[in-house]
Amino acid sequence: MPRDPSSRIAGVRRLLHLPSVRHDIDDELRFHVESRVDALLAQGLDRRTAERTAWREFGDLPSARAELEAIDRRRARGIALGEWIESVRQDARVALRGLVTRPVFSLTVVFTIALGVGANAAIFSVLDAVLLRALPYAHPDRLVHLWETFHSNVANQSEASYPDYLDWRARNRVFADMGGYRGAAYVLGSQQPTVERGAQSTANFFDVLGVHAAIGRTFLPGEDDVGAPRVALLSDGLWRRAFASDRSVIGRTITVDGTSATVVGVLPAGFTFAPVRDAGIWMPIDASAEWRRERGSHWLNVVARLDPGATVASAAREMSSVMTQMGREYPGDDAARDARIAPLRDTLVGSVRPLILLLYGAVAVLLLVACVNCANLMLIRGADRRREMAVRIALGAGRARLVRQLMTESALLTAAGGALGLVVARLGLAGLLGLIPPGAVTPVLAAATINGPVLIYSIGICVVTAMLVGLVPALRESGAGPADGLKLGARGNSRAGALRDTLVVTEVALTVVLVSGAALFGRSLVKLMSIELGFNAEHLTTASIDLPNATYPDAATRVHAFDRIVSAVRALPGVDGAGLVTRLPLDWGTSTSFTIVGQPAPAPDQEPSASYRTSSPGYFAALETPLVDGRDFRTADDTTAPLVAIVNRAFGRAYFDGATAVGQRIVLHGTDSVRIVGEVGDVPIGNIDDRVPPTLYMAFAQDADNAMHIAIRSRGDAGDLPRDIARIVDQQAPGGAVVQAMPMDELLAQSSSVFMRRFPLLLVGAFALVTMVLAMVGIYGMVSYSVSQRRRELGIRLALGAQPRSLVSLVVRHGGTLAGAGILIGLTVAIVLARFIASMLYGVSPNDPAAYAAAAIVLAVVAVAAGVLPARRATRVNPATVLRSD
Amino acid sequence: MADLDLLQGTLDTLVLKALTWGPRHGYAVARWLKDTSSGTIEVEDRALYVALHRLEERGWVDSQWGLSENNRRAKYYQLTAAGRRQLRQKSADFTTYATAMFKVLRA
Repeated sequence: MPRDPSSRIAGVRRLLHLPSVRHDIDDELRFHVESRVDALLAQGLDRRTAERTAWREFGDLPSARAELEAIDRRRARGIALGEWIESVRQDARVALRGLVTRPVFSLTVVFTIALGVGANAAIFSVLDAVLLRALPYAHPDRLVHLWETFHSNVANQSEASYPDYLDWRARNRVFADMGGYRGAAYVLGSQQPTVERGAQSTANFFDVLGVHAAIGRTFLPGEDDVGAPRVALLSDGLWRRAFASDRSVIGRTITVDGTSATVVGVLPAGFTFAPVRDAGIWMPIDASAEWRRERGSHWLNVVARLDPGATVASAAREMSSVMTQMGREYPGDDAARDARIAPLRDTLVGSVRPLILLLYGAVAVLLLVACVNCANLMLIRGADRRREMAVRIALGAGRARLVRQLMTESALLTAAGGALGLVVARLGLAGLLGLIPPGAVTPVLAAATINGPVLIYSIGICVVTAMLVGLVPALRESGAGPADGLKLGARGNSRAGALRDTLVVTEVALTVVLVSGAALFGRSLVKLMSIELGFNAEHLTTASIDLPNATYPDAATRVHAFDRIVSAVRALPGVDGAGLVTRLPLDWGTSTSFTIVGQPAPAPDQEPSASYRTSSPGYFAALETPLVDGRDFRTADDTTAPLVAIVNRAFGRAYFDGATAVGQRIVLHGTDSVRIVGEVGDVPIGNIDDRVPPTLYMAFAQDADNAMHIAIRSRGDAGDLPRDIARIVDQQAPGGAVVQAMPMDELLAQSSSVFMRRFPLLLVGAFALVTMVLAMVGIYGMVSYSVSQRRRELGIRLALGAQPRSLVSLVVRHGGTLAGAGILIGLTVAIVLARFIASMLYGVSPNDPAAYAAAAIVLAVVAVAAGVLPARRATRVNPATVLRSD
Repeated sequence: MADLDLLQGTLDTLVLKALTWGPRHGYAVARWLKDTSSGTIEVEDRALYVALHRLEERGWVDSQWGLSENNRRAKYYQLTAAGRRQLRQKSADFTTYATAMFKVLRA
């Protein structure tokens, strides 16, 4: 077949320009009809007849054209798609070949992206778990938490008293329902008893939350009545751990606190309620009838569900007016009292929100640095291939085609980096959750996993990363004219240099921001740890010991059992002292109001109050808390002796104008007067950075509880103490259970005030370290490049007798200038941003000069170190080789 | 023949057969059909072109623009390997079918 010479090009054009499909069909059909007409003319027909015949034989032309056009268009589209896929594959092949031949560059970029994406995915999964994912309750946004407070002092917030709760429930018109809870600890089992975290709630509590049991049922109305048969709900975790996921546990009788209780249900696996941490056993509230009548005893946390029409604001107004009304009716207990209301989510995650947002900000900066670093490496690499690009342009490759080629490269790198990043995220998240002490922060945090939304988020940031990393160099390189790169010995032009410099400055600046943040948290932690604690946390071991109520029902049996335990512990070798207390330092505990004998009765909201604990003789000595005045408790201070108390210095400052409280008498609710016999140093309650409140210690033997903490002072390491304590309790108080013994300094490290500084310090510090390494790589790459570009110049200088050292400083100087600019910009940004973390710092101003100076010095050292190494290569240039090469 | 599928399939097979001697343009295919069947098989030219384009879409034939005997631009069709296979298959099917028909009709 003879060829139409223009056919190949025309064919390609046809594929790309679909409208030409129609022309082709017309051409083809015209040829057919003309050929036919010719044949008919040859048979002797006249032209008109011939044309008519030809068209008749052909059939309906318009419908044929339409049909053929449809077929051809379909086919052209298919070919275009196939060609596109083929070209993408080709791009990928070329890109892959290019990347494999430069493994150091490729791996650096892949690992950098993996770090950036991995850190982001890990922190995002935490953010998702805590702030985004729905709480495991029905319509959680309608749930609120309520407290009692005072009109004059909103900060003085407490649980509700039971009668107040009943009145709130009966009088309000804004809540669909209202229930209550409080934390508890239970001794589970009788043979080998364990202490389990638990909670008590009103019977309707789970209905308010809208939570149904996974197996069995939740509580029924009336099961929280005084004297009702004891029933229990198990958490999914405890059910799996202690009952081997046995579904027949429903209806079974278990021993809780030495008394039997019937298991009625198992809660769903996803159920958590942060205020009671990982409570394993839920029971109906068991307060006595007397407790429930005490309008002055505040012990019930209240949760309520808003009516469809109500808002938090309207509910707050309603509750305020209800409380005012109650204040008039019960002036003795409720005068001046108010109610506070807040969304339940705030209660559950409020404390960790700023922490998580901070970490999120830090990983965003990390990712940005990673992107900048990669873009910089791509730019440097692009400069290496200017000739390759120029050749391609000269050969007719379009700008769009080249941009696509370069974008394919960055897409491949990002895809590899993203995949590796998910591995980093998994490891990072495990490490991050491992840093969180069990039960120290909201259990919602522990629910963080790499799930669907996290994957989608990660893919999203990969796309953005690929754009940031690839587009800048792609547009720059493809923009070069063919002549630029082909010129012999062409150097990178100054526009590219300026872009690279900007990227390095950005990188350094962002790193400074993170390093300054880490420095601020580091200084906070140092300040925090240097707080005078009022006791010696070293070589101090603690454990909590619970005796079952049924076996140890009264003060006498409890005192007897605990005395035996303490004596046996003191007899252990290496133990210097031991004592009991209801709440260890840093543990919140309860507080009580009282009146002072000999002082006028105060207004209801001005009544003196103090944090309240009971302790045994030898407790303060074991803690090494100084006895300032008076005496310690004695064994003689028992139920037969007059009531005595020890107070801290803050107590004397608050209520006796700084004079000693020893010898004074106070009256607690429903007690005889209590004589204060001693005064001890201040020991923090709750957060170590909070002001120590007035604290009242009552004699253990005069108000014996069945759950006590023991504090043991040893000479050396705790060593076998945990095992010894378990053995002693087993021997001296059968049925008693020991909760994991723990060194006091570890408890201290886990306390929320220390945790809230140490955790961000560790993480922001780690992120800062990573960005620092990235910045080093960036500066290193840039200086290496500039050395390689100036080989000829350096060779000439060397040949003319320049000292190698002066050449190093010549090369390093440029890097140093950029680092200096980056540090200055970074410090400015850091100081502006620091006010957002001001509330998370302790004892350090967000403008702390030392922190910023440290950050600047660290970065300056890093910048010089990164620059010197490649700069030394400049001195090894052989002048002869260089001068010959071009 | 009322069965459209059969008709379509038959036309496709005939067109493929017409191309076994090398590249031909549509007009040549039409002539060949008419001449070879001595006028028995009368196909509208329109249907023939639809068949050609559809065969091309299926990848059984290829097309290329070339110059005709009288030096005019014409679109030439050519069997592809897949088209050859299809033709063999269809011929075999048709022979089986026709044999069976004869058998029945002569019974």
